[in-house]
Amino acid sequence: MSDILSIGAGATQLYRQSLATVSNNIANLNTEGYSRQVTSSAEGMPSQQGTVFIGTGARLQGIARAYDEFIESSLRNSSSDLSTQEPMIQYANRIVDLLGSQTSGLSSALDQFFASASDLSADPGSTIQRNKFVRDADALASRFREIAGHFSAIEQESRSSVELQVSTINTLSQQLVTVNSQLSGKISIDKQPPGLLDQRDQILRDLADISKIHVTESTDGQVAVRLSTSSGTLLVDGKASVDLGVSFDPNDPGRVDILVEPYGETRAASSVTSGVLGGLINFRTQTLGPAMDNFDYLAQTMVAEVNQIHSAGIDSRGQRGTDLFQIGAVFDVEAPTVESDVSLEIKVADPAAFKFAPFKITWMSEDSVWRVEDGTSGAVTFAQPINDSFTYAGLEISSKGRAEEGDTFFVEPRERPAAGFNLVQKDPLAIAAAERLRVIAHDGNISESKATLNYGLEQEFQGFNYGTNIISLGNNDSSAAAVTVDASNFVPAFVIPRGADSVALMMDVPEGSDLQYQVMTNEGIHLLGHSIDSGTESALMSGDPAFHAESSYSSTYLNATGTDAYRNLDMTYGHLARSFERQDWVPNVNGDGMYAQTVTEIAQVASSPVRLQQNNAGIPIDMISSNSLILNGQALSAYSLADGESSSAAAMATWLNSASANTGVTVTASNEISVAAEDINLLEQLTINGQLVGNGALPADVAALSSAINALSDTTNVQAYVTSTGGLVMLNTAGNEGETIALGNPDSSSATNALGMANQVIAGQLQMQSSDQIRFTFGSAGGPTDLGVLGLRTGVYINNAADEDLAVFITGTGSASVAAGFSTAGMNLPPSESPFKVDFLSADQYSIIDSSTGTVVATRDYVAGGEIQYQGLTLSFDSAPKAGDSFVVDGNENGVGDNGNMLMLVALQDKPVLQGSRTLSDGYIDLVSTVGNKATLSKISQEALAVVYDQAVQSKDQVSGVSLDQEAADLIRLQQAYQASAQIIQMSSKIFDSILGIR
Amino acid sequence: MKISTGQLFDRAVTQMSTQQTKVAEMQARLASGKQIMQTSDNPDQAGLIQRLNTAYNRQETYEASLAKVEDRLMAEESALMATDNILQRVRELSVRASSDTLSAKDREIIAIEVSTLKEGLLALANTEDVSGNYVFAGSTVHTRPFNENASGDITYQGDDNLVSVDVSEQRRINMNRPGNEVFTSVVRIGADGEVRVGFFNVIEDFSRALQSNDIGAIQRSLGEIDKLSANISFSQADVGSRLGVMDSQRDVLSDAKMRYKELLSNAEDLDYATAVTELSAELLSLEAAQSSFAKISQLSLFNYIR
Repeated sequence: MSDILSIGAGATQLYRQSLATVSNNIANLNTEGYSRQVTSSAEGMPSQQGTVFIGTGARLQGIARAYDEFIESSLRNSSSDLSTQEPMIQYANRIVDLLGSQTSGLSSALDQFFASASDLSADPGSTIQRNKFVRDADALASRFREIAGHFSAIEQESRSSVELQVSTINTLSQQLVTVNSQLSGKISIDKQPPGLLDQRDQILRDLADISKIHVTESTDGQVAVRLSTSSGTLLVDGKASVDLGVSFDPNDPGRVDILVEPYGETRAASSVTSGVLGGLINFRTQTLGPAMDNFDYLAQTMVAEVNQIHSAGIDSRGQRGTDLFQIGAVFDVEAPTVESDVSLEIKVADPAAFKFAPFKITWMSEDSVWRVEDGTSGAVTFAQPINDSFTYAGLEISSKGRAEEGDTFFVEPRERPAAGFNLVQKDPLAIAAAERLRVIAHDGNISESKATLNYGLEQEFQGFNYGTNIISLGNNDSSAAAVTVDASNFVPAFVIPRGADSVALMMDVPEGSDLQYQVMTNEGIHLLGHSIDSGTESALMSGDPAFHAESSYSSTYLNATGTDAYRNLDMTYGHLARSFERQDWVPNVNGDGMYAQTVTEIAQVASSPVRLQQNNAGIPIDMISSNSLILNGQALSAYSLADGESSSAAAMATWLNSASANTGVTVTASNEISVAAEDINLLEQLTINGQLVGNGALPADVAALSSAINALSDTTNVQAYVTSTGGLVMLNTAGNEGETIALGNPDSSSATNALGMANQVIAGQLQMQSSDQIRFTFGSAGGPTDLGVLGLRTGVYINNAADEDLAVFITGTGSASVAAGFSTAGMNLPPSESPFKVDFLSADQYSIIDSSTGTVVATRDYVAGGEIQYQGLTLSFDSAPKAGDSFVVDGNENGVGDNGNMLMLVALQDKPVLQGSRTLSDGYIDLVSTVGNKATLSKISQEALAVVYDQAVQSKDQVSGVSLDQEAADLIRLQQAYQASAQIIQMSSKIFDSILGIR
Repeated sequence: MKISTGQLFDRAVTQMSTQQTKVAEMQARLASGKQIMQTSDNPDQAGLIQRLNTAYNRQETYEASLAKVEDRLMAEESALMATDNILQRVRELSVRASSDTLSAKDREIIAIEVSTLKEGLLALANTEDVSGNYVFAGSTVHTRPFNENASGDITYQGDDNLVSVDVSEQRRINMNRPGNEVFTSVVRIGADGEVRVGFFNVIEDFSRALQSNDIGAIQRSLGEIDKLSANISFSQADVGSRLGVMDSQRDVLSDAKMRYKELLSNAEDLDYATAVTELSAELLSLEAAQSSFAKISQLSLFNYIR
């Protein structure tokens, strides 16, 4: 009896709980992440009565979530995949709309710029058109900057978005850790509270939305989460989680690095490729980065191409064009610690001084100065702001707001071509519309021939094929540094490169040799050297293909000086020393300061030992023939030796001094032998001029040697003294200056003597002085060997840089040793185009004359119908010119109506200047389409993935979703069951009453 | 299969809002008459539209250049016509003057007319166009091209530059003829060989010959003036042909503009017939979605539990 009651009671309890569960399902109809809960009942343990088992009713076994682990996992994955696409679509579409718009895109600005250029080309003299061109160029520059600004805004935005997503991952990880720790209380997942599990799944779904995750569930329902795949970075494991961070490369927007433990032991996290975060990173690497790079490349190319054209033209003032656009610096300013409202504004004030170097500035309120620290060298300077601004390294830095002690700004200048795109030439009259050169036929030309000028891309002369570049000899013109060179009449021995300045190419020749220098241009103009016969002329120009085939040899400018010289160059063949001026600081009269004084140093030459020769011929001979040497323009008489006479420095000095009145050069002779202390060998003996020093007794020390030498001074005419460093100096006694000194050793087995020097006759040397210059050149019969008599080397001197390579031949027989001195300051300057004139000497020969100096730089043969090439320019004629015709090629100084350069600028719009032979506007449209295609592609993927996701949602819903109809049915079913159970209780009560009612 | 209540509602809402968006887009297209509202709607087509716009704008630029060249050529043509008339008169005078019947006095009278005509010629040689540029100065358009030099000769101060202007992608047209090609010099064989004599010197020499009554020189002038005149005619023909080229070029340009306009319209403009049909279809399905949802959402078992 009591069984019925307990069955009934148990059943009502069961159905009440079941009804509560259904009610809970209905109540949570709209709760996100809620899984439908189902009660499960179980049969009570039957009680045995005799041989039968009687049921004891039902009891609540548990409330379970309607849940499928695999469906959940596929839902998470499909949600990751789906959300990957969204950022790409959103951001890429924004870029496309911005770039592709007629109003804010680049295309319209480019069109307008080229249209203005075209308008200007139709009326180059008009100031209105010039103004319009400048305005549209400025509009183009600012359009570049605007678009770069939009890019940078999208970059910033997607950057914050990435940061937000990463920090959301961190928050979710921490929440998951909390859930995990709550779950750890029970052993089995069945015993876990469903709500907690729902919460766990919701967190996992949120995580999967941000990035694809790999979830491992343990038996108690705790989860371990890895990034992306089963081998990815472990985010959450039980009760531990790691923090993620992100770092960006300021120079490459496409580079995003996800880091683990950004504030601890930082390491790289596994890559994130899907989910919102993956989508953002994909957008930055695949779309934003390349797009910004391409846009920068476009800007860079545009600036370079336009500037190249514009700076090659002539503006309306007749001056050479300048750069039209410029890429300025953009400054990244970071102030992580600054809390005050101070901000910086940085401008480049002096582009020459600005070096793109990072620096940091800190405000020091005590002294009211900015402390500026160079980011690379660490050098510290202090700058006191005037009106809140100061200058540093070519920058003008001004601050706004009140800075506080210690406020520090890190400033990094960056070159972002598109963002720093600027118009620099804002003067309409300085717009170079005209071509830089023009050709004008002379009024008096007999022929009707008209010339046209074409610009070659490269100079046709590419340098000589043979000959050592003198720069490779090293800048040291001393004999010690000389190299030995064989003479050749066919190929140049050396090349003096274009722009080499203060050249001195010094040569030592053997006695009596016929070696000569010959310096030529590639047009066969003989500049320096000795006059040569016609056979040599053709030989010189035959070997090196760089010599212009049609050019004829010319000796017009051979060794000429002043305005007669080739292009008025200051050149010398011979030996040269000049007086020069220098600034000297001297104390003033009061002794309290210094002032600069110009000191003139006189010209000086000190020779090597002169050549010694004794005349045994029986008749007088000339060591240097008359007119062989010319000193300062004065031809020198012969230096002769009478029969039996020997040459000496003293005699040469006398000979040179005999012309002093005309040359201005005074010469003294001397002979001085210096021996260092360590070279002296007191164990050897010494004879001077045949006299045995010290009578054969070995001196005790250097001083004793010196006195022994001086004891013989009367016979040897040589005296000696000991230097402060213990060395010995020997020189001629007074009245015998310049005499030779013969050193010997009576011991014939020894080749050296007490001085440690070889036994030899040492000739005297010459010292020459002049207040102006000492310039030896050669007469018709003279040559380097004549200078050799005087102990001088022969040089080629070119004091100002030539604008072309010069070939240096060494003609004659034998070999010479050569050393070079030079300055290379002007060597890298671009080739200059100087105006010139073409004169037809006859119908088949013409000269090219440099207009500024009147120098005939080339005389060439002409074939009717041929073209003339010079300085990379090509002149062609519509009909054959006649003798006497002349054509002037000059700068287009007053050609304000010329539009040649503007036409080239207009032609730029069709010129394939970008990689892949694309024009500027093609490049831009490609850029837009590439981004657009990425967006379209993502859109298509998104549509496909949405279907997958929908299916996953549907499957999950089938299992876990709450349907009101189902709940209503359950409600009725359970309600009825409950009523029935209640009936059982009532019935049992009635049965009990019946028992009680038995009387 | 079970459909959860939440999903039922969600789906219906999603579907209806998708449909709403479509209708709104279609409406915007109809209102603007454009096929593509934003570049992102169709990036490929947007590239084409940009290209077509660029091409179209360029034709307009060429037209503007053409108009400027025309101004210049008109100035050139009228100056040449006037020059031709004057030269004809000079030629008549030279023919008359070479007649033996004239006296020295007669020739002096002719000389007076010749110098007046020379002044006229000089003024024409220094003609300016509407923008104040000298027409016959080559590229030195701001410098008076024909001036008297120290020795009293009128010489050409301009240059030989031909200024050409793009009037289509392929065509470049010369907008000037340098003065020394119009007012040409002649080669005279004198005592010391061939010499060039300038245009105005020929006239001046003629005038001097008239004054000095030098029949030989007058006859030589007759020949030389013939050459000058022939050259002016040549220049006239040249300008005329260039004007002709410009006319045909203008037609070419307007054709090209029309073509680009049409292409642009194809790419950019909305086909109303299709668009309106599409809109009604979209509206229909939106309405269907709404009314079916209204009906379906009414259905609930709870309605029947009393």
